Amino acid sequence: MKLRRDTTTGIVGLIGCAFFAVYIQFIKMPAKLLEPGPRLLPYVSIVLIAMSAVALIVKGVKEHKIEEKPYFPKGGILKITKSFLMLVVYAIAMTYLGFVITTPFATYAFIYDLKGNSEIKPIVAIIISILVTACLYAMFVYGFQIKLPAGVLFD
Amino acid sequence: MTAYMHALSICLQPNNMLLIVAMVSLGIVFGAIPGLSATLGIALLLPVTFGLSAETSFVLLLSIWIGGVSGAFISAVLIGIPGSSSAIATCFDGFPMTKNGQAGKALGIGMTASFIGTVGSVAIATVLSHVIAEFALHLGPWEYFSLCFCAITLITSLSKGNIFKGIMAAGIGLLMGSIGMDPINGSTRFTFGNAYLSSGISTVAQMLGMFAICQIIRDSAKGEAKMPAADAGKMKGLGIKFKDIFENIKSIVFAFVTGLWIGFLPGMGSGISNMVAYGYAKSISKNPESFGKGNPAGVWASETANNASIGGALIPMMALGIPGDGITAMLIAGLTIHGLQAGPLFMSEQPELASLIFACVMVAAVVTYFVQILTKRWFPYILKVPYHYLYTVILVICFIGGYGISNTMFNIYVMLALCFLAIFMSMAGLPTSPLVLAFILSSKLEKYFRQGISYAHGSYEEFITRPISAILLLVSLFCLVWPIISDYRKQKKVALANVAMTENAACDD
Repeated sequence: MKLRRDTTTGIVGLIGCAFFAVYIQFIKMPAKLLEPGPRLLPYVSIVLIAMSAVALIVKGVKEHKIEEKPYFPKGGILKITKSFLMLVVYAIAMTYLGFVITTPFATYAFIYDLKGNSEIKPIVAIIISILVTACLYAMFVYGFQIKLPAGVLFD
Repeated sequence: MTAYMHALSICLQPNNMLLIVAMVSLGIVFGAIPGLSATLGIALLLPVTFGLSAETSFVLLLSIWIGGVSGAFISAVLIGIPGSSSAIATCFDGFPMTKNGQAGKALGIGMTASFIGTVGSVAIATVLSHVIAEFALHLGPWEYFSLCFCAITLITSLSKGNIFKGIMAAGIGLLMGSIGMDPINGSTRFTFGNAYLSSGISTVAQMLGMFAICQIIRDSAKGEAKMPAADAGKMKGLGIKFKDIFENIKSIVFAFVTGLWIGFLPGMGSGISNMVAYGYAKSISKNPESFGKGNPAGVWASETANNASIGGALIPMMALGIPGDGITAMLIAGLTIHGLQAGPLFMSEQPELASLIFACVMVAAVVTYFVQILTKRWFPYILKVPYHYLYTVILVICFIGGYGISNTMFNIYVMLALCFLAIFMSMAGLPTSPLVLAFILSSKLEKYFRQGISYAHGSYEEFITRPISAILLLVSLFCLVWPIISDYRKQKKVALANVAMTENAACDD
């Protein structure tokens, strides 16, 4: 049986609640408190999430016969996973190589990832990637006095 | 008044005026392009403000906000796709006007209505916020807790489809808000031994990950990053006359009052006010059948209402420190970056900066109007900006912003984790507004609740015996229970109707 999105959300919610419920026990409670203490807010949030998770599971089970429209069009899940992984790779590469080295490559990759059906000339994409990196670097470092990652290897 | 005049003179300094013109123009572009928004613009600019003074930061953030909210009507009128939810009702008559060859007039109405809505509501907010803030100084932690609780329940009850999804989103927001040190004893929670997490999750990382990055990659995966061609038509001049304003004065006045009030209520804002005002304009019209076919009154009502919500949202933000929507939540985060806390004490202890906020919104509204008049003929070109280049630049700015929060890569990873959470929430149909509001208000909610109990020597009674607190808690209870009762009644009605139909069918047989 294919699970409805509400049921999946409820199950994920309950798993999350169980995880955090275990970690609440590690929060130290100061002695002789007149008020409920630091565990109150986490408990309240977990109860809210768990309660709504159960309600969503019940709703999903009740409506399991109703056909559900897919959230993404065909190939959408693959596309969003690819885009997200590219962002993760960019973050890891930036950690080691810094902003200046990684950004032109990342920009080039993002342009192609987001282009959809548009036609793009590689030379234009290369020029734009280099220009975007240079302009953003100048704007943030010299204009707004904000540091950019230099990379662990070059620090 | 002196503080306000001083603030106005700061805004009118050449440097600040240039900044206002630039940010208002950028805001108009962000507002006009469907998929981008004033919220996204502010999220991107928040990291930029780290190295700037509080005054400059607010000039920057407020200008892009005003430009962004005002610019949302451009795509609604020219291509029938609203720049944001605040301009949905503008499409109903704005786009038919364009198809009838009246694009110039529809844009003129949008610009003027936005101007009237913003300027009028901000003038009222400037006066009212001081009065409410003075009153708020007499409130205790019990009333503040109930107010925060009421704000969260109001926005949760408005969740589309299912209230439990709203409650779950609010629960996630509260859980995220509990990460780090607790606001009373300093005990660490859910830090998993990571020193970076002891100060909690950064609001900027949250905004960038959950709004900006998530929206870009989600739209791209859903194939929504495409735009139909805009029909320019006649674009010269303002396109309207004074006579047009007087002919629609009834709709404008009602839309203004509606927008102001709805903007004041937490969780509602311009997304709802434009629809309510449009409905009213249609109901009082002598030709209601002309609505949806290009009646200018529809555009007047929608655009006046959504911009009047700006002033409405400013009142609780400034006077009480309670954000009414995602944008004001981000503006409060902007204040926090500079070590300031919105609320009644901010109004009395920092009158210059408080006045600067009101003055800047007023100046930005005027500048927006002039920029729109001067650039009206180029509006169709804004909608031709290639998405893949624009989105790429935004993604890179998000990474710079994430790094700029603490000059470490840690917040970039937090940003990506929250982007993942936002994608899951979006697929599950969980709304992000209750999460953002609960996250922003979580520390206040907890602090006031625990302080209230401490001050009452361990008693919970004060929350229900103090009249204002009791009323707010009753409103919250109603907000939570009513959608469930209403759903149950609807289901019962449907079930009864089905039974009646089956019986009738059986009788016929």
